[in-house]
Order: sequence, then C-alpha cells, then structure tokens
Amino acid sequence: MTGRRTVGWAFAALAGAALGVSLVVLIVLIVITALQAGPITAMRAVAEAGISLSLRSMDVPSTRESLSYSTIAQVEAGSPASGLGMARGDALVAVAGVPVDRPSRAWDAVGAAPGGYEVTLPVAWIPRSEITLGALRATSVAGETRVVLTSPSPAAQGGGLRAGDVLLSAAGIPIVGTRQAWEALVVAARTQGTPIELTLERGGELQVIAWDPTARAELRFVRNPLRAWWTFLTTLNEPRYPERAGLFPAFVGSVYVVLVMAAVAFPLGVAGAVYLEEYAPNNALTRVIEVLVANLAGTPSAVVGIIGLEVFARALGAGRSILAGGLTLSILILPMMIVATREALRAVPQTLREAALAVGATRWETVRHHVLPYALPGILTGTILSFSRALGEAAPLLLLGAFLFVTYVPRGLGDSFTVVPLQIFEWATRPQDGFATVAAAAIVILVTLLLVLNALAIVLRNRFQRRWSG
Amino acid sequence: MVLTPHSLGRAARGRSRRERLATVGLTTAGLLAVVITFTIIALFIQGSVPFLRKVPLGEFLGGTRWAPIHEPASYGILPLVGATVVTTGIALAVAVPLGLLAAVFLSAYAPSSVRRVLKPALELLAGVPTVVYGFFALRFVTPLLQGFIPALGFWNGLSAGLVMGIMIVPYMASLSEDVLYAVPRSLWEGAYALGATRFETVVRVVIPAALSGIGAAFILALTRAVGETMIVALAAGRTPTWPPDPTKPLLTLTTAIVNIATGDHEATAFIWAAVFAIGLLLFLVTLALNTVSYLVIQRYREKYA
Amino acid sequence: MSEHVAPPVLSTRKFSLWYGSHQAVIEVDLDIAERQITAIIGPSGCGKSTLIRAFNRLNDLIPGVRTAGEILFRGEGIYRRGVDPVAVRRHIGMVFQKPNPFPKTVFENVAFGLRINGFQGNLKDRVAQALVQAALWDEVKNDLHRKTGYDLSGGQQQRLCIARALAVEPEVLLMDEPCSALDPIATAKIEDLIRDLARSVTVAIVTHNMQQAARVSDWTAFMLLGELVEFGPTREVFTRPKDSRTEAYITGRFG
Ligand SMILES: Nc1ncnc2c1ncn2[C@@H]1O[C@H](COP(=O)(O)OP(=O)(O)OP(=O)(O)O)[C@@H](O)[C@H]1O
Ligand SMILES: [Mg+2]
Repeated sequence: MTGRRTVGWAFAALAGAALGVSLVVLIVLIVITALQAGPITAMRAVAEAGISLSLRSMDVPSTRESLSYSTIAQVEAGSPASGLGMARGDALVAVAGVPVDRPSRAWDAVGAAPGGYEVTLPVAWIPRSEITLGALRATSVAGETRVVLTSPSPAAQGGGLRAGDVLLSAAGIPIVGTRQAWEALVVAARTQGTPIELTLERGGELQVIAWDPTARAELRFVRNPLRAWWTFLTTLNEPRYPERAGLFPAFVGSVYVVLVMAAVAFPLGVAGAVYLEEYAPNNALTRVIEVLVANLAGTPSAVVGIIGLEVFARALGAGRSILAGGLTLSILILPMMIVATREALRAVPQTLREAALAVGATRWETVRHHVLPYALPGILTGTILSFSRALGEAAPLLLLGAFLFVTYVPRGLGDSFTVVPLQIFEWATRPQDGFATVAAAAIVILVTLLLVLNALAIVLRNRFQRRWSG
Repeated sequence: MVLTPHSLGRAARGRSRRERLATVGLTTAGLLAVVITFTIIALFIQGSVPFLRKVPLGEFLGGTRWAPIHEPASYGILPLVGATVVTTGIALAVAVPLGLLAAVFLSAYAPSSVRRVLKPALELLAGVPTVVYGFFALRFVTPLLQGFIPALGFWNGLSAGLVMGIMIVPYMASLSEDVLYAVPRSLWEGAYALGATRFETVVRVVIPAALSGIGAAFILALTRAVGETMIVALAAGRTPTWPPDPTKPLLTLTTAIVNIATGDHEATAFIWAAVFAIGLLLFLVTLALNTVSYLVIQRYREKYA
Repeated sequence: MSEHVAPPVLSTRKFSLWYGSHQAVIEVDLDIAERQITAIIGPSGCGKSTLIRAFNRLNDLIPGVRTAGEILFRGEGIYRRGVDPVAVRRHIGMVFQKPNPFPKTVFENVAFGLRINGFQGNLKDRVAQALVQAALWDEVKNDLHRKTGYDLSGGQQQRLCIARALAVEPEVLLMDEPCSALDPIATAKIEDLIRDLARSVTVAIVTHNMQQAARVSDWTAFMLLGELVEFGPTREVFTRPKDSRTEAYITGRFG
C-alpha cells in the first residue's frame, strides 16, 4: 500500500516538475532576451551625442595578429560630438577612461558610468591620419616598405615630427604602410596608453620620441531608457549602425500587412465557418472541406510562402508588396480563423436559432441578426489570437522576399516592406556588435504587443461570458 | 393585416434574393479551402515537373549531395531529409515527454484554480513567435552548450533541435491536455471506485483510453517540427551535411527553400524547380500526417462525445 | 366544450418522420381545429416534440431527417416542393420548452419578427399590442428599451417569447411544454393566457402534465412510441378513453 502511494507521489512530482521546468525555461528565455536589450539605452545615448562607431582591425604581419579598434563612422552635423571637432574617420580610443577596442566597449562604458540620466564623461580620440600625421608616402627599399612623412600636419609638427622622417614603429607595433602608420598610433594608444613611443629614422639615425596625438574632451551623454526605446520604435532604420537602428518601418509594415490580411481573412474566415457550421449539408464534401481546413492549418509556413511568391507576387503581379504579403498571411491565418469561428458558433445555443426561425426569419436573417452577434465575442477572441499569430510570422514573408533592408516607411499597398519578426531575423543574423541588442529590443516590443493582444482577448472572453450566461 | 397575406410560396423577393446571395457567398467561402489546397497541389506538381524531368527521382530521393548552385549541380535530398530528421528527433525527444507529463499534471493533479491559470499561460507561450526562439538558440543555447561540447559549431542542429523542443512543449501539453480532459469523468470514477490510486487511474485507465488522441497530438507536434523554419534558419546554419551530425551546421528541407528563395536567382532559373520539388515533398508529408491526426482526433471526439 | 365545427387548420396525413434510420413518428393522422386548443400528451420519447416541430418544419435543421406522408396547412402541403419553410414558420409560430429570448432588449425581441417580415405599420403599437396580448405589458412597459430578455424572470421570459411569436400574427401557435421550466404561479398565468389566446389563434400544445392538458385543451392527442393512439375531445379522452393504453397512461399506470 505504501509502495503504491510512493510511486503515485513520485509520478505526481515528476509530472509537476515537467510542467514547472517547461514554464520556467520558457519564461527564463524571455527574461534573458529582455535583459539582452539593456544596452540599447547607452547605445542611443552615444548615437545622440552624435557618434556612430564601426569596428576596424589592423593586421600585424610580423605577429600575424589582428588588432581591433573603433573608428567614428559618422558624426551627426550639429551634434555635441561635431562641436568638439570629431569627424568621420577619427578613431575613438577611450571613453570614461575605458580603452575602446570595439564599439560595444564604448557603449558599455557609457552605460556603466556612475551617475544619473545625464553624465559628462571624458572621451579620447585620435583624429584621422591627415590631421594627426599629415601626408605620407610609402617607398620600397630592398623589398621593405618605408613610410616617409612628406609633409607633417600642424599636430605632428607640434609633437616634434619633421618632414622626411621615416616612421618605423609605434610602441613596438611595426609600421608597414601609410594606413598602418596611423592605425599603429591608434592601437598603441589603446593598448599602452599615451604618450606613445614612436620610433623613427631621421637623417639616417634612429630616434625615439614620446608623443601624445590624442584629442581629449568632455562629452555629455543622456541615458534615458524611455527616450531610447521610444526613439528606437519611432525612427527610420539606419541599417549600418545598430545604435541608429529603428523599428519604425518594420512596425508600420507589420501593421499594414496585418490590416490587409485582416481585410481578407476575417470576412472569408467567418463566412467559411458560417458555411461549415450553419449551411453545409452533412455529406462527404463537407467532411473533405473539414479535413482540408485542418490540413491547411498545419501546412508548413515555408510552403505557404512559396504559394505567396508564386501566386500573388508573380502570377498576379503584386510583386514583393504589402498586398502580396497580406494575401500570403491570409492563407496562413484563414484556417485558424475558420476553426476559431466555428468554435464560437458552436457555443451559440440551438434554441436561439429556433427562436428566430419560428418567427419566420430566413436562415441568413437568423445568422445575421442572432447567431453572429451572439458569437461575436468568441469570434473576436479567436480573431485576435489568430492575428497575433500572424504578427509573429516571419517565414512566409521571408520567402515572399520581403525586403530585409527597408529604411523608409511604406505608404501604400504596392510598396515593398519588412515586418517586425523579419527585421528581428535580419538583425539576429548580423555579426557586428550591437545588432543582438537591437534584435532583443525588437523582441521585447513584439512580445509585449502580443501579450497585450492576448490579454485583450482573455478580457473580452471573460466579460462577455459573464454577460450572456445569466 | 399589414403583413403579407398567407401563402406558402417564396417570401418577399428582396428577402429571398438576399438569402440566395448569402448562400452562394458563404458556400464560395466554404469551398475556398478546397480551392487553395488544389491550387497548392497543382502549382507544386506543375513546378516540379521540369525538375523531375531533368533529375531522376532516384537521384533526387537517394542522392547524398545537395549542391544546386555548383557546377556540376547535384540534387540529392538526403542531407536535407537527414537534417530535418535530426532536428525534429531532438525536438520531439524534448517536447513529447515534457509536454505529456505537463498535460497529465494539469488534468489529473493540478487543482482547478491552478489549471485555470496555467492553461492560458501555456497557450500564451505557444504563441511566442518562432523567430524569438531562434534568436534564443543562436545567442544563448549554443554558447551555453559550447561550454560542455567544445566541438559544437556556431551553427548546429543540436541547439536548434533543443530549442524547437522547448518551443513545442506548450503546444504538445495543450493538445494532450485537451485529449485527457475529454476522457469522461465516469472512467476516472470507475477506476477510483475499484480502489485504484490516482497514479494507477492515470496510467492504467486514462492514458490507454486517450492513446489515439495522444497519438494525434504527437503527429501534430511532429508536423510542427518538420515545418519549422525560423529556428533552424537562425541556429542550424545553411550547410548541407551528409551524414547529418547534430554538432555541425545542417540544412533542413525548410531552410533549403529559404536559401534558394532568398538567393536572388532569376525567376526562370532552374533552381526554382528544386524549390517546388522540396515544397511538394514537404506538403505531401504534412498532408498525410495532418489528415491522419485529424481523422484520429475526430474519431476520438465521437467516441467520447 | 366546443364541438368539431371549425374546419382543421393543420392536418397530418399518414405523416412519418425518421431521424436517420430511427422512425420517431409513425403514420400519424391528426386534425387541428381552428381557434381551439389541441394538447398532445404521451410518455417521454414518444415523439411529441418531433411531431409538433414537424408542423413548422423546424426539423429541417437536423441533419438526417426524412419525412413521408403529408402535413396540410389550410389544405396546402407544407412539405411539398416549392414551399418555403420560412413562409410556413411565418404563419405557424412556436414557443419552446425553455424560454429562449434573444439577448436583446424586450422591445427588439418582439419587433424582430415584424422587422424581417417587412411590417409597414406602427411598430411601437404592434409591439405593445403583442405584449398586452401576452399579459406582459404592465410588467415591462417602463423597461422596454432598458432591460434585455435575460433580465426578466423565467415566467416573464416565457411570456416574452409568446409575445414575440404573437407579434407576427401567426395563425397557429405551437407550444412545446411551455411551462415545464416554470414554477406553479408562472404556470398558472401562462395557462390563463393560453385560454385567452385561443379566441384569436389556433394552439397546439405538448405537455407532460395531464392535469394541464385537461385544464386547458379542447382536444387531446395521445401518442405512444411514435404512433397516435387516441385522439378526441379532451373530456372524452380523459373520462372515457377508447384505447386501453390511453387509460393506462392517464390513470398513471405507466409513463
Ligand atoms: N435530433 C435527434 N436525432 C436523433 N433522434 C432523435 C432526435 N431528437 C429526438 N430523437 C428521438 O426521437 C424520439 C422522439 O423524440 P421526441 O423528442 O420527439 O420525444 P418527446 O415525446 O418530445 O419526449 P419528451 O417528453 O422527453 O420531450 C426519441 O426516441 C428520441 O430519442
Ligand atoms: Mg419533447
């Protein structure tokens, strides 16, 4: 007897654990993803200070090393950064005392700096080669490249360099080309600090001079999470720089595509369900339709995508447009709509239909005036759930060829578009720093939206259940 | 009397015309599913014909090299089938036991208040977009697993399969719970009345009674895994491998379609025929599986209606 | 009570009905006299509801239903080809076992039948008239547009359903156990109402309650296992049944 009990309890515990573990894993998944989106505040703060960064690297032939550094890929006109004289092509070497080898280091430094929403942090950068060094020429002597400073810039002159100097190495990093001369300074400044020991040959003699080519200034960063997320949601997308990524085009694309889908799938789905539930004779054809609807609901979305591409985009000539996208999604959602609506119709008491028919209503009048209004909350609940499913669908639209780099807001049915899940897919596949963060941020927005829609569906269901069950 | 005088002929003309119109419209909408299905079949067969004319069926289904854009091209589908089998197998190994146990817990053990909360929660989780799971697999599960399996590639079938399994758990649990819940209370009570414990009732009576329904739920989970695209596209990579190895990048049937469709080929290129051939195969497999599971569930419902 | 003077409004001629392979009504011949009350009694499952629902073709909704024989409405076969069941139901109204108001306002409940039938007159008056006829007017006149059908008590709901049926001025009112879901006081009100109604409309009522049949009806039909066993003036059926099975039933020996 106790043995039977124990087995029973062990099983109950196992089953409970299975449910618990599954729920916990799923929730942890979503929480971890949400946490990944954290750096977006600092990224936007850097972007709003005017700086877009990109990762570069310098190859050192002698050691076969690849040393990374961050250049300033873009400085927004009129921004604080441009006020400090920063410009495209400069290299950012430190933020708040943290050496910057890759863009994420700069964002993290801004994010981690103590202080409130607004912080003013020291930044150090090395202006681009023409300003730091001046004109250089590479000559080949006995198979070796020698880099000669032909006309030093004012900054170089101030640091003690002269025309005709041959630059050999910076902090031990050999200089093997004109580009490498400046890169060596940047990498040296990051790895070993300033001043840099620059080895050069002047008039046939080796000389070592200590030089600090970095420019320094204080830069104000505004780390406002609300503003960062709002900007992320409402700006156009700049596909090259994650800190300037914007979800707006994808968001608008999603809304348009779902609206087109709704306009098609809602009436057709409800009509199909009304046919099956209220009109269809009890025969073989009806059963075939039911099997096919169930089948369509389980058709892989990749297959649906091919249909979209072949029928809507190519045969009907809609191209890779919002129209084609909405139609493709409606094939996917139609069977779900039918199933959900049928369930709602089945919950309508038969006596209600009989009551209407008994006063001489036709079948359509009965459906139109009594059955549909009664089933409406159920239908709407099912509709919201189906539509939220459509909002998360990426595969069919990926196949349809929705553009991955949409930087403008679609305006009409014929425009090309992208949608939020596809934008997430695109960002998730980018190897550069920061794209994982914006992908995670987009996921947070998408999942929040779906949660709200689902909550709405549940509220709707509960409210009307109470109202009509009296 | 202001109403129409009595006569049993047709009702007023406007009304009967509306009625006919409604009937025609609704019937058309009802038949749409048939139209769509046959369009799909016709389109895929038509699209596959040029492919099957050039590539012998034996080579297509038996070949172990998938290289449609290389010279010479080779169209052996086994690496894709193998990849799909590997990721699906891993996913089901996770999803089926977990989902089934969770369903048993919900229907047999959980108090009704817990059930009322957890069932919608499960359905909510089942609705999380798959691209989210793909991101999770690529960014967290793979690095985590690489801690244990150093040879694991950046793209691999293992992590895609595991995450796909996690994704399917709520789906499997929700479907099986419906099935278990439909077993009449009288059956439970009959077993209790004989002095069976709850465990014995569940294992000896309820699960056997629900077996066909559980089988159907299993098939639905299977089609879901076979057709899944975004998770494998993100986490499993795009390299056809034979024999399939879960620690290496894999190209599944669905990602092969994605690969070609997003590959910027001319609309007339022969490679599109391969898309149709793969699509046809996928469609026929899922058609068969779905039909079986639908009919099984239908029979099951009738049994316990 | 009244004698067999009026011509029949509804009559069945060897009417049979099958649910799939199960025959629920077997060759029934029955005449329902104008402006009189005909009660149909019999044990559970004998086919009372099936028969009464056949009178306005409500069984058409059930898949697998087949009929044979005829039902004539003023001489016209309602199952003949070309007959629109909608028109049949427009003339032959029905009140059901459980009150089934529409989830709409009291006014809309009554007005619906008028609206769809293209009523041209004064809608408000007609709705009020129907509610008066159904003895509900005084209880709802202040809430016509505020209360829904669901806000009324069970007995009020049933009277609302009667008003709804009466509004389109049917010639026959079918009632399938209209009181079985109601308490005795509400039942008494409806019984009085039915007697009043018979002055202007023909009533066929199914009931399980033999006292009720005896109290309200002019004619009584007794059914058993799908067959019409006995049919005659109520007083005779209850006092001098011709068939021993009828006698057994009304004396409570089975059923
Ligand atoms: N929709 C249906 N499908 C199949 N059989 C039915 C259906 N409705 C009724 N029946 C069968 O037809 C027979 C007559 O049923 P009906 O409802 O007419 O009986 P009834 O006399 O009204 O019974 P009660 O007094 O219980 O209401 C019964 O055997 C019943 O099982
Ligand atoms: Mg009955």
